[in-house]
Amino acid sequence: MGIVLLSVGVSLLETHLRRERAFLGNLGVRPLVIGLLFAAPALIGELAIRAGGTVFR
Amino acid sequence: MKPILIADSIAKSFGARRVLTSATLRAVPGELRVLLGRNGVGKSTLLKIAAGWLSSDSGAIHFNGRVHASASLPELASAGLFYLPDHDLLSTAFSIRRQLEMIRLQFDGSDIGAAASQLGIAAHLDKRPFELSGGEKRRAELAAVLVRRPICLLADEPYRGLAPKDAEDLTATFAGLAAGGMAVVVTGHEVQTLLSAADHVSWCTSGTTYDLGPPAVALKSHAFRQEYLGSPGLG
Repeated sequence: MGIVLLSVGVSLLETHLRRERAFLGNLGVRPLVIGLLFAAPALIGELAIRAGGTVFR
Repeated sequence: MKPILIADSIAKSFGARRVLTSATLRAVPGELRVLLGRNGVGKSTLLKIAAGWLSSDSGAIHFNGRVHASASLPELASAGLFYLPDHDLLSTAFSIRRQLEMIRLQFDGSDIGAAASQLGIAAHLDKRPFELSGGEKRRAELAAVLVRRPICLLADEPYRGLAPKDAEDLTATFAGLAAGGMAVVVTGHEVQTLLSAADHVSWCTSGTTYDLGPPAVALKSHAFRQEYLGSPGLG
Protein backbone atom coordinates (compact mmCIF):
# COMPACT_ATOMS: atom_id res chain seq x y z
CA MET A 1 0.00 0.00 0.00
CA GLY A 2 3.03 2.27 0.32
CA ILE A 3 3.10 2.96 -3.40
CA VAL A 4 -0.60 3.93 -3.36
CA LEU A 5 -0.09 6.35 -0.50
CA LEU A 6 3.00 7.72 -2.22
CA SER A 7 0.99 8.31 -5.42
CA VAL A 8 -1.68 10.21 -3.49
CA GLY A 9 0.95 12.25 -1.67
CA VAL A 10 2.80 13.10 -4.88
CA SER A 11 -0.44 14.08 -6.64
CA LEU A 12 -1.43 16.48 -3.88
CA LEU A 13 2.11 17.89 -3.73
CA GLU A 14 2.22 18.36 -7.50
CA THR A 15 -1.11 20.20 -7.66
CA HIS A 16 0.09 22.37 -4.78
CA LEU A 17 3.45 23.14 -6.39
CA ARG A 18 1.87 23.85 -9.76
CA ARG A 19 -0.66 26.08 -8.01
CA GLU A 20 -3.42 24.14 -9.72
CA ARG A 21 -5.62 23.88 -6.65
CA ALA A 22 -7.56 27.04 -7.45
CA PHE A 23 -8.13 25.97 -11.04
CA LEU A 24 -9.26 22.51 -9.96
CA GLY A 25 -11.39 24.05 -7.21
CA ASN A 26 -13.10 26.29 -9.76
CA LEU A 27 -13.78 23.16 -11.81
CA GLY A 28 -15.54 21.72 -8.76
CA VAL A 29 -12.89 19.02 -8.34
CA ARG A 30 -12.20 18.07 -4.73
CA PRO A 31 -8.68 17.16 -3.53
CA LEU A 32 -10.02 13.72 -2.59
CA VAL A 33 -10.96 13.08 -6.23
CA ILE A 34 -7.48 14.09 -7.39
CA GLY A 35 -5.98 11.72 -4.83
CA LEU A 36 -8.24 8.90 -6.00
CA LEU A 37 -7.39 9.55 -9.67
CA PHE A 38 -3.69 9.25 -8.90
CA ALA A 39 -4.18 6.32 -6.53
CA ALA A 40 -6.17 4.26 -9.04
CA PRO A 41 -3.28 3.25 -11.38
CA ALA A 42 -1.04 2.45 -8.41
CA LEU A 43 -3.82 0.44 -6.78
CA ILE A 44 -4.53 -1.48 -10.00
CA GLY A 45 -0.81 -2.21 -10.43
CA GLU A 46 -0.53 -3.32 -6.82
CA LEU A 47 -3.51 -5.67 -7.19
CA ALA A 48 -2.15 -7.04 -10.51
CA ILE A 49 1.21 -7.82 -8.91
CA ARG A 50 -0.48 -9.58 -6.01
CA ALA A 51 -2.77 -11.51 -8.32
CA GLY A 52 0.20 -12.46 -10.53
CA GLY A 53 2.14 -13.54 -7.48
CA THR A 54 -0.71 -15.78 -6.37
CA VAL A 55 -1.22 -17.35 -9.82
CA PHE A 56 2.42 -17.95 -10.64
CA ARG A 57 3.58 -18.99 -7.16
CA MET B 1 -31.34 43.28 -5.00
CA LYS B 2 -30.76 40.44 -2.56
CA PRO B 3 -27.15 39.26 -2.09
CA ILE B 4 -26.35 35.94 -3.72
CA LEU B 5 -23.35 35.49 -1.43
CA ILE B 6 -22.91 36.56 2.18
CA ALA B 7 -19.83 35.70 4.17
CA ASP B 8 -21.38 36.59 7.48
CA SER B 9 -19.65 37.66 10.70
CA ILE B 10 -16.38 36.01 9.76
CA ALA B 11 -13.60 35.67 12.32
CA LYS B 12 -10.15 34.35 11.56
CA SER B 13 -6.87 34.15 13.42
CA PHE B 14 -3.48 32.92 12.27
CA GLY B 15 -1.82 31.69 15.43
CA ALA B 16 -1.93 34.49 17.95
CA ARG B 17 -2.68 37.10 15.27
CA ARG B 18 -6.35 37.90 14.93
CA VAL B 19 -6.94 39.13 11.38
CA LEU B 20 -10.73 39.29 11.26
CA THR B 21 -13.02 39.67 14.25
CA SER B 22 -16.42 40.10 12.62
CA ALA B 23 -16.24 40.87 8.94
CA THR B 24 -19.02 40.52 6.39
CA LEU B 25 -18.81 40.37 2.61
CA ARG B 26 -21.80 40.58 0.33
CA ALA B 27 -22.02 39.95 -3.40
CA VAL B 28 -25.11 41.24 -5.15
CA PRO B 29 -26.23 40.24 -8.67
CA GLY B 30 -25.72 43.08 -11.14
CA GLU B 31 -23.31 44.96 -8.87
CA LEU B 32 -19.56 45.49 -9.02
CA ARG B 33 -18.51 45.74 -5.40
CA VAL B 34 -15.02 46.69 -4.34
CA LEU B 35 -13.44 45.69 -1.07
CA LEU B 36 -10.78 48.20 -0.08
CA GLY B 37 -8.42 48.33 2.85
CA ARG B 38 -4.79 48.70 3.79
CA ASN B 39 -2.32 45.88 3.37
CA GLY B 40 -2.64 43.18 6.00
CA VAL B 41 -6.13 44.10 7.23
CA GLY B 42 -7.63 40.84 5.99
CA LYS B 43 -9.23 41.66 2.61
CA SER B 44 -7.71 38.65 0.90
CA THR B 45 -8.42 36.46 3.91
CA LEU B 46 -12.08 37.49 3.85
CA LEU B 47 -12.32 36.85 0.11
CA LYS B 48 -10.61 33.46 0.46
CA ILE B 49 -13.04 32.48 3.21
CA ALA B 50 -16.02 33.67 1.14
CA ALA B 51 -14.75 31.51 -1.74
CA GLY B 52 -14.32 28.46 0.46
CA TRP B 53 -10.58 28.57 -0.14
CA LEU B 54 -9.82 29.05 3.53
CA SER B 55 -11.78 28.01 6.59
CA SER B 56 -12.95 30.57 9.13
CA ASP B 57 -12.88 30.30 12.90
CA SER B 58 -16.50 31.39 13.07
CA GLY B 59 -19.22 32.77 10.82
CA ALA B 60 -21.09 31.26 7.90
CA ILE B 61 -21.20 31.40 4.13
CA HIS B 62 -24.63 31.85 2.55
CA PHE B 63 -24.51 31.15 -1.16
CA ASN B 64 -27.35 30.89 -3.61
CA GLY B 65 -29.94 30.09 -0.97
CA ARG B 66 -27.87 27.63 1.04
CA VAL B 67 -25.90 28.01 4.24
CA HIS B 68 -22.45 26.45 4.14
CA ALA B 69 -21.02 26.02 7.62
CA SER B 70 -17.74 24.70 6.23
CA ALA B 71 -17.73 25.79 2.61
CA SER B 72 -15.14 24.50 0.16
CA LEU B 73 -14.25 26.06 -3.18
CA PRO B 74 -15.21 22.95 -5.20
CA GLU B 75 -18.62 22.93 -3.49
CA LEU B 76 -19.26 26.64 -4.07
CA ALA B 77 -17.83 26.51 -7.60
CA SER B 78 -20.24 23.72 -8.48
CA ALA B 79 -23.04 25.98 -7.21
CA GLY B 80 -21.97 28.87 -9.48
CA LEU B 81 -19.08 30.71 -7.84
CA PHE B 82 -15.78 31.55 -9.53
CA TYR B 83 -12.70 32.60 -7.56
CA LEU B 84 -9.76 34.44 -9.08
CA PRO B 85 -6.91 34.04 -6.59
CA ASP B 86 -4.16 36.56 -5.93
CA HIS B 87 -1.77 34.37 -7.90
CA ASP B 88 -1.99 32.94 -11.40
CA LEU B 89 -5.12 30.84 -11.85
CA LEU B 90 -4.30 28.79 -14.91
CA SER B 91 -2.03 25.76 -14.85
CA THR B 92 1.31 25.93 -16.62
CA ALA B 93 0.87 22.30 -17.73
CA PHE B 94 -1.77 22.92 -20.41
CA SER B 95 -2.55 25.42 -23.13
CA ILE B 96 -5.13 28.14 -22.50
CA ARG B 97 -7.48 26.46 -25.00
CA ARG B 98 -7.27 23.10 -23.19
CA GLN B 99 -8.04 24.69 -19.84
CA LEU B 100 -10.95 26.71 -21.18
CA GLU B 101 -12.20 23.51 -22.80
CA MET B 102 -12.11 21.75 -19.41
CA ILE B 103 -14.27 24.52 -17.95
CA ARG B 104 -16.66 24.45 -20.90
CA LEU B 105 -17.12 20.69 -20.67
CA GLN B 106 -17.52 20.68 -16.89
CA PHE B 107 -20.16 23.40 -16.77
CA ASP B 108 -21.67 23.33 -20.25
CA GLY B 109 -20.02 26.69 -20.70
CA SER B 110 -20.09 29.19 -23.52
CA ASP B 111 -18.02 29.32 -26.69
CA ILE B 112 -14.25 29.50 -26.14
CA GLY B 113 -13.51 31.34 -29.37
CA ALA B 114 -16.06 34.03 -28.61
CA ALA B 115 -14.70 34.54 -25.08
CA ALA B 116 -11.12 34.68 -26.36
CA SER B 117 -12.03 37.14 -29.10
CA GLN B 118 -13.93 39.35 -26.68
CA LEU B 119 -10.84 39.61 -24.49
CA GLY B 120 -8.33 39.84 -27.32
CA ILE B 121 -6.49 36.59 -26.62
CA ALA B 122 -7.66 34.55 -29.60
CA ALA B 123 -4.11 34.45 -30.97
CA HIS B 124 -2.79 33.07 -27.68
CA LEU B 125 -5.20 30.19 -27.16
CA ASP B 126 -2.64 27.51 -28.00
CA LYS B 127 0.03 28.98 -25.75
CA ARG B 128 0.66 28.03 -22.17
CA PRO B 129 0.18 30.70 -19.49
CA PHE B 130 3.91 31.22 -18.91
CA GLU B 131 4.25 32.37 -22.53
CA LEU B 132 1.88 35.29 -21.92
CA SER B 133 2.46 38.73 -20.44
CA GLY B 134 0.80 39.69 -17.16
CA GLY B 135 -2.03 41.52 -18.93
CA GLU B 136 -2.62 38.63 -21.32
CA LYS B 137 -2.72 36.18 -18.41
CA ARG B 138 -5.37 38.24 -16.62
CA ARG B 139 -7.39 38.34 -19.84
CA ALA B 140 -7.01 34.57 -20.22
CA GLU B 141 -8.30 34.18 -16.66
CA LEU B 142 -11.23 36.40 -17.48
CA ALA B 143 -11.87 34.29 -20.57
CA ALA B 144 -12.22 31.38 -18.14
CA VAL B 145 -14.86 33.43 -16.31
CA LEU B 146 -16.71 34.18 -19.56
CA VAL B 147 -16.68 30.50 -20.51
CA ARG B 148 -17.80 29.43 -17.04
CA ARG B 149 -20.53 32.08 -16.76
CA PRO B 150 -20.68 31.98 -12.96
CA ILE B 151 -23.37 33.75 -10.98
CA CYS B 152 -20.76 35.21 -8.65
CA LEU B 153 -17.14 36.23 -9.22
CA LEU B 154 -14.65 36.98 -6.45
CA ALA B 155 -11.40 38.49 -7.71
CA ASP B 156 -8.54 38.92 -5.27
CA GLU B 157 -6.10 41.68 -6.24
CA PRO B 158 -6.43 41.01 -9.98
CA TYR B 159 -4.41 44.10 -10.91
CA ARG B 160 -1.06 42.75 -9.76
CA GLY B 161 1.68 43.68 -12.21
CA LEU B 162 -0.65 45.28 -14.73
CA ALA B 163 0.01 48.42 -16.73
CA PRO B 164 -2.57 51.20 -16.15
CA LYS B 165 -4.24 50.59 -19.53
CA ASP B 166 -4.59 46.86 -18.80
CA ALA B 167 -5.99 47.74 -15.36
CA GLU B 168 -8.56 50.00 -16.98
CA ASP B 169 -9.56 47.30 -19.46
CA LEU B 170 -9.83 44.77 -16.65
CA THR B 171 -12.08 47.09 -14.66
CA ALA B 172 -14.25 47.65 -17.73
CA THR B 173 -14.60 43.87 -18.10
CA PHE B 174 -15.61 43.51 -14.45
CA ALA B 175 -18.16 46.29 -14.89
CA GLY B 176 -19.47 44.58 -18.03
CA LEU B 177 -19.87 41.26 -16.22
CA ALA B 178 -21.78 42.99 -13.42
CA ALA B 179 -23.95 44.83 -15.93
CA GLY B 180 -24.80 41.43 -17.38
CA GLY B 181 -26.20 40.34 -14.00
CA MET B 182 -23.18 38.71 -12.37
CA ALA B 183 -22.35 39.47 -8.73
CA VAL B 184 -18.76 40.73 -8.79
CA VAL B 185 -16.48 41.53 -5.85
CA VAL B 186 -12.96 42.82 -6.47
CA THR B 187 -10.17 43.77 -4.08
CA GLY B 188 -7.25 45.99 -4.95
CA HIS B 189 -5.52 49.27 -4.32
CA GLU B 190 -6.22 50.85 -7.71
CA VAL B 191 -8.57 53.27 -6.00
CA GLN B 192 -9.38 55.64 -8.85
CA THR B 193 -9.95 52.88 -11.40
CA LEU B 194 -12.05 50.85 -9.00
CA LEU B 195 -14.11 53.73 -7.68
CA SER B 196 -14.84 54.94 -11.19
CA ALA B 197 -16.58 51.65 -12.02
CA ALA B 198 -17.83 50.36 -8.66
CA ASP B 199 -21.46 50.25 -7.62
CA HIS B 200 -20.63 49.75 -3.97
CA VAL B 201 -17.64 50.16 -1.69
CA SER B 202 -16.84 48.05 1.34
CA TRP B 203 -14.00 49.00 3.61
CA CYS B 204 -12.06 46.42 5.57
CA THR B 205 -10.30 47.74 8.65
CA SER B 206 -9.50 46.68 12.21
CA GLY B 207 -10.82 43.17 11.66
CA THR B 208 -14.23 44.22 10.46
CA THR B 209 -15.94 45.63 7.36
CA TYR B 210 -18.06 48.68 6.69
CA ASP B 211 -20.48 48.88 3.79
CA LEU B 212 -19.96 52.47 2.74
CA GLY B 213 -22.35 52.43 -0.21
CA PRO B 214 -21.80 53.91 -3.69
CA PRO B 215 -18.39 55.54 -4.32
CA ALA B 216 -19.79 59.07 -4.05
CA VAL B 217 -21.14 58.27 -0.58
CA ALA B 218 -18.00 56.34 0.43
CA LEU B 219 -15.84 59.33 -0.43
CA LYS B 220 -17.81 61.42 2.06
CA SER B 221 -16.76 59.11 4.90
CA HIS B 222 -14.21 61.05 6.88
CA ALA B 223 -12.74 57.92 8.50
CA PHE B 224 -12.41 56.15 5.14
CA ARG B 225 -10.69 59.13 3.58
CA GLN B 226 -8.49 59.74 6.57
CA GLU B 227 -7.45 56.18 7.32
CA TYR B 228 -7.42 54.57 3.87
CA LEU B 229 -7.28 57.08 1.04
CA GLY B 230 -5.01 59.43 2.93
CA SER B 231 -5.39 61.94 0.12
CA PRO B 232 -7.87 64.79 0.31
CA GLY B 233 -7.59 65.18 -3.46
CA LEU B 234 -9.53 62.05 -4.31
CA GLY B 235 -13.14 62.47 -5.15
